[in-house]
Amino acid sequence: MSLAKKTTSWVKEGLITQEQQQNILSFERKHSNHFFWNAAFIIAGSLIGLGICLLIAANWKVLPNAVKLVGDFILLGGFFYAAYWSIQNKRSGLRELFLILSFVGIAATIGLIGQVFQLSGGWQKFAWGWVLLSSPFVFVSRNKWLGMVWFGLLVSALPEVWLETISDWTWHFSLNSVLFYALVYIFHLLALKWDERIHQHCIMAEAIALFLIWNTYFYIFFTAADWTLNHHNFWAYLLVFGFFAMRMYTAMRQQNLVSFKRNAILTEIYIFLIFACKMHNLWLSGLGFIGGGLLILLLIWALRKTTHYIKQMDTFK
Amino acid sequence: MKKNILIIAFILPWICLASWAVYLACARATGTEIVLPVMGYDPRDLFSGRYIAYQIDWKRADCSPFPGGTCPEDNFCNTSRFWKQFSWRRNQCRFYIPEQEADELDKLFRLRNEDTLRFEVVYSYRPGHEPLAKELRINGLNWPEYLKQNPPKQEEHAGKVRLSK
Repeated sequence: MSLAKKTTSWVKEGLITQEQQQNILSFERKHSNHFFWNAAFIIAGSLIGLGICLLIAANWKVLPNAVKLVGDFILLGGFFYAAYWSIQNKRSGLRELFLILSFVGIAATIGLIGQVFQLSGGWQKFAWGWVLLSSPFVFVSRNKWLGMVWFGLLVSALPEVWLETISDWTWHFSLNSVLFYALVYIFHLLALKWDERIHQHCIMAEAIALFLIWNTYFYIFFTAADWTLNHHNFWAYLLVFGFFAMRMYTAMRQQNLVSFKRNAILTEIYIFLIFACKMHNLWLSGLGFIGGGLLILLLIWALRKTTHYIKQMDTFK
Repeated sequence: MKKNILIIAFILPWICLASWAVYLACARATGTEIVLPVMGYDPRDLFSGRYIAYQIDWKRADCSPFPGGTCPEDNFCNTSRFWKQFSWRRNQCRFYIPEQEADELDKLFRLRNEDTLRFEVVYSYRPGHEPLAKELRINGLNWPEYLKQNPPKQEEHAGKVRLSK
């Protein structure tokens, strides 16, 4: 239901006056974040940028290398200027479009230089170049997805020894892996604190915090699930349930209903996965399928009940 | 003040990239030309995307143009430590080719016969700097010229494919 319809019904019910309705509507008109339009600009920018990368990758024989390079630099300069112009003229949608195009354009230019001069450099050299040169555009952007992609690139460009060590730690359940997750979570909390201070000027800290917590969830949910379900490691169960319980506790403390619901649902899905995987003995396949179907129904019922129950909890009222 | 910082922050990456391109162009133009034989990187001597993946055949390379007459193997296509653990990426070099010619060159490279086809890469070499590949040669000819003179034809003989010279 649109806000206009909603507020009209509130006026009819006597919840607000007509004057209040007008105030609400004018406030929303001023402060609405034009989510749809901004998202359209971001998607368009990403598609155009990727298209340019593919056109460069085709390595056109008809164009001499010098022409390709000059054309690319003119285009890149155009993106940079357009980004600057849209920031100066406060055109938020266009700003994000041209910042994304500048970000992808830098990668395309590095790729073109590599192609023209036949460089055999690996991913890390490329990622470092991209991260460093694109940082001004990412830091002025208000698009947290761009910030997350940039931070992901930065992580991928870390010294190889570190990446190898992290990969070793997360491969198997060990004290190192638990400590690593704890460290990532602490960095997430620090990034959130940092975001409180700088959010008005820059959303990079929020993007980093989001990246870190998504990473933690990814590892906890998928890697730890693998440890528990395939390798039957009892301590891994504790890690997964402990993590979700801690997140739900934090959500209750902060009265964050969305976070609480998300974690409750993930816990239920995890329990469902444990039961589903225990049914691998399919010599009674018919019974297995029936049991699986019943479990799905049980899961839906549990999810609906949980959502209903959480909404009734005093904490979130 | 803020406006000036923004202008500098936006112009700087452009200047860095342009300077890099100019530096590479100068480095390529001023280096000594060295021709090195190349071979496919077994077992995957295939095109991967739009580039040819090769390895320098140091056993057949003439090391006399290098200082001290020793081939500086580590300077060429030096693979980073992380990728070295995967044997198929060790010291792998790349030569980028246009999409339209990829199939023809792919066939030629995969089905090459050592007696009739010789693949070489011309490098611009300066001691202490990363060598830059300039040209891919087949039987002494730049590859587009070779393809022009020898359009690939295939003849099937008892399961084996022979390239006509």
